[in-house]
Amino acid sequence: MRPYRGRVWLAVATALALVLAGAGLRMAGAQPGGTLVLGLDQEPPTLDPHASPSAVTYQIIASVTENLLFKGPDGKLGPWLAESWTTSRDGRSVTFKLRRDVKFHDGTPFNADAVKFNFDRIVDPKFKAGGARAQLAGYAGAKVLDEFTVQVSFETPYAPFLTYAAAGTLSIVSPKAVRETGDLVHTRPVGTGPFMIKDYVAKDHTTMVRNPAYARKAPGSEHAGPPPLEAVVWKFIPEAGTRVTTLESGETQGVYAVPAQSLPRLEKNPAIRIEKAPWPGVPRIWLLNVTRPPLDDVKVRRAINYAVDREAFLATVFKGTALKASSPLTAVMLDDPSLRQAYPFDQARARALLAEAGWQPGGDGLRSKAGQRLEIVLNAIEYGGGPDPTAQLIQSSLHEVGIDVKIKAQARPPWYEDNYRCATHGPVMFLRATDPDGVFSLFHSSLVGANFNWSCVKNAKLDGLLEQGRRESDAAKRRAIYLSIAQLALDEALTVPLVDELSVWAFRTGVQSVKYNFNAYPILGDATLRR
Amino acid sequence: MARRLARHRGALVGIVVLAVLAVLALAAPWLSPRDPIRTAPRAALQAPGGAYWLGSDQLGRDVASRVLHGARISLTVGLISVSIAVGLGAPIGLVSGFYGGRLDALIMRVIDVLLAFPGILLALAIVSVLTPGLTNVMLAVGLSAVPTYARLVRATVLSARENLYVEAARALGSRDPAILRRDILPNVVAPLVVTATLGLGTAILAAAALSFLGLGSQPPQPEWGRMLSEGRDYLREAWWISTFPGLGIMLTVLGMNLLGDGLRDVLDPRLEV
Repeated sequence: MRPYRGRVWLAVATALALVLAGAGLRMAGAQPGGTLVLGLDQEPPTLDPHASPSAVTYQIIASVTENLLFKGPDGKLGPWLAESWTTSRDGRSVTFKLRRDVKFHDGTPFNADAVKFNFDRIVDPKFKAGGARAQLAGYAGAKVLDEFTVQVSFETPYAPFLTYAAAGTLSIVSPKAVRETGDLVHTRPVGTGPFMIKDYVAKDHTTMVRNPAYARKAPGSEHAGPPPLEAVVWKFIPEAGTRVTTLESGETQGVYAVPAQSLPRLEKNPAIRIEKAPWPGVPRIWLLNVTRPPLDDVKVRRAINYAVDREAFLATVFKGTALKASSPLTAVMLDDPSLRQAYPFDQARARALLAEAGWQPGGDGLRSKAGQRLEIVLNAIEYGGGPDPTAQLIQSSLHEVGIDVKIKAQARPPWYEDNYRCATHGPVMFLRATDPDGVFSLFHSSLVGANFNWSCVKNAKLDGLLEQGRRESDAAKRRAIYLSIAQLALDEALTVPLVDELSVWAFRTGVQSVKYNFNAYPILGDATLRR
Repeated sequence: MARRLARHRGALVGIVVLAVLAVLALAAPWLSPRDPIRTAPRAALQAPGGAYWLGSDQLGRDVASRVLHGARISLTVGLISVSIAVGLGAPIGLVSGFYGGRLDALIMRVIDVLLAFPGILLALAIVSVLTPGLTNVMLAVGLSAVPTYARLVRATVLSARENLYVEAARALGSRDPAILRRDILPNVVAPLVVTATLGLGTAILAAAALSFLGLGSQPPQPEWGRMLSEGRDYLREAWWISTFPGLGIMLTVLGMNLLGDGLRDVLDPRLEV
C-alpha cells in the first residue's frame, strides 16, 4: 500500500515537473509560433501594390508579395523571383530568368506569363494605377521567351527600372486572383511571399498568416522555409499618443512612426527597443516656386536656404527621428561633402543677400522693396491638429531675417491644386523613392503642373542631366550625374532641403530578428516573438 | 440695478473673473514675459516654473505669453461674434414680430430652417465655404447665432405690442418707427442683454472649437482652441501646453455664464424660481 502510494506521488511530481519544465521552455525559448501585433500610423488606401499611391501599403505587404529583384539595406541588387537578369546593350530591355519553384498563395504557378500580366496590368489605361505607373515610364511591352524567361522592353534606355523592379510597387500578384476576385485585390492581394493576407477590417486592422508552403530562403532572410510567426496583425492607430500607449501596455508588440516627444520615455523603458532606418528618396523639403516673385530672384532663394535653421527641426519635432538634410536626395541615396557644405545656417549671410536683392528692413523688422512687403506664402497641409509643424518652424526662422511667411493651411485636394497651378511660393513635401531618378519628377520641365515639379522650374541643363541619368546604367557615371543635378539644384536654390527622416519603430524586447529592406520597410520572415 | 447685481453672489464672481481676464487681455503686450510667436527650439517643452512660468510648447514658445495674448483673441472673437448675431438678429425679430402677417411667416420659416441645424454645424459649414481664418470664424459664429436672437426678440415684441400703452400710442397717432423705439424696444433690452451675455460664452467656445479643428485662427496666432489642439499630441509629456489654454477657455466661459445667470435673475424677476 505504502510503496504504491509513494509511486503515485512520484509520478504526479514527475508529471508536474515536466509540465513546469515545458512551461519554462515555452517562456524562455524563441520557438516558432505566436501572433505579432503591430500598430501603424495610418490605414492604407488599398493593399493592391499596383494601385497604391501610399508607402503604408508596401510596409504591410513587404512579406506578402515578392519582387523580381531585391534591394537590401546596403543598396545592392540581388535575385528574388528572378534568378538572374541581363540588360540589353542598348539599355532598352531587360531579360529575367525566373525561378521555377514558385507558387502563388492560391496555388497557381508563377511564370513568365504572370510577369507579363502584372506589368501589362499596371500600364493598362483602364486600370487606376498608383505609384507603379510612373516607374514603368516608357514601357513598350513584355515578351514571354519561354515559360520562365521574360523580356521587358522600354521605348528609350531606362536605367532606373532595375531598382524599381525591386520596389513593392512592381511586386507580383497572382493573375488568377486578379481576374477572378475583382475588387478583392484591394484588401486581399495574392502574392508568393512567406505571409498571406487573411482578413481586412476597415478602420481597424488587417491580418496576415504564415504561408506553410513557403520553402525558399527569401533574400534578406537567414532561414529557408515558412516564417516562425503564425500571424501578424497590423492595427491602424492614427493618434500617436494612443499608439505609443498600446505598446507600453503590451496590446501591441511594435509601433511605427514613434513621435519625437515619446522617444525619451520609450528609450528609458527596458522592455522596449527602438529601431531606426533611413528613408530613401527625397527628404522633407520645401520646393521653392521659382516663378513667383520674390522667389524668381535667386538671391532671395539662397537667402532662405541660409536662414532656415535646420538644427531647430532636429531639436524639436524631429528630435531623434531625423537627420539634417542637405540635398534633394536623402543621404542614403547621395552623400557628398560638397552637398553638406552648401548652405550652413548663417543669418548674417541671409540678411546680406536680401539687402543685395534690394529688400530693406522696416520698422517692424520685416523687409520691403518699393513699398512691397517681403511676403511668402507657404502651402501647407492641414492635418486636423493644425498644419505641418515644419511650416511654423520655417515661418519663425524666416521672421528672424525679415521675411513674413504666411501659412496657407488647407486640405489635401486644394493643396495639390495650388501646387499644380504654381499658385503659392511652394509646399513642403517628401518623396519615397529607391532610385535617384526620383528627382526626375521633382525637376523635369515636362512635370510642371503635374506631380511633382512644384518648384515650377524649367531648366534645359537640368532636363538634360535628368534624361541622361535615366539612360546611364554605369553606377559611377550615374552617381556623377545625380551629384551634378543636386549641385545645380542647390546652386539655383530650387528647394530648401529640411530633414532626412528615419523610419522609427519601437518594439517590445520579445520581438526579435526584424530586418529591413532598402525602402526601410520591415521584413518579418525571420521575426520571432518571445512570450 | 447695479446694486442688486453686486449683491448677487454668482454675478459678482462672474464680474470679477471677467474683469481680471479683460485686464490681462488688455495688458497682454506689457505683461507677457516673451514674444508669443517667437520660437526657441532649444528651449522646447520646458516644464512650468523656472524661466517659463507656464512652461514652453513644442516649438519653444512661451505658454504664458501665448495664453495672455490668447485672452485678447478669444474675448474679441466673442464680442464681435455676438455683436454680429445681435446686430442682425434683433432687427429681424423686431420687424417680424411687429408687423406680423405674411412677412413674419416667411422670416420665421427661414429662421426655423436655420434653427434646425446645431449652431456649431452651421458655423462649420459657413467657415468651410468662406475659407478658414479668424475673421471668417467670427462671421460664422455670429451668423449661426442670428436665428436665436431673431426668435427671442420676436417673441418679446409679440407680447409687448399687445400692451395697452402701445394701443394708446397708436391712437395718439404715433408712427411705427416711434412706437418701435419708444414703446417696444425697452421691453426687448433685458432679455437681449441676458441672452447676449450667455451667448458670449457659447461664441467663445464655438470659435475655440473651430480653431481646434484647424478652421479658425491661423498659425502662429496664439488662439486658445488652436493651442489646445497643437498640445494634444503632447499630453503625456507636456501637459501644460493644452492645460493652460483649456483653463483659459473654461474660466472665460464660466465667467460669462455666471454673469449671464446673475443678469437674468436681476433683470427678469419672473424667471426667478
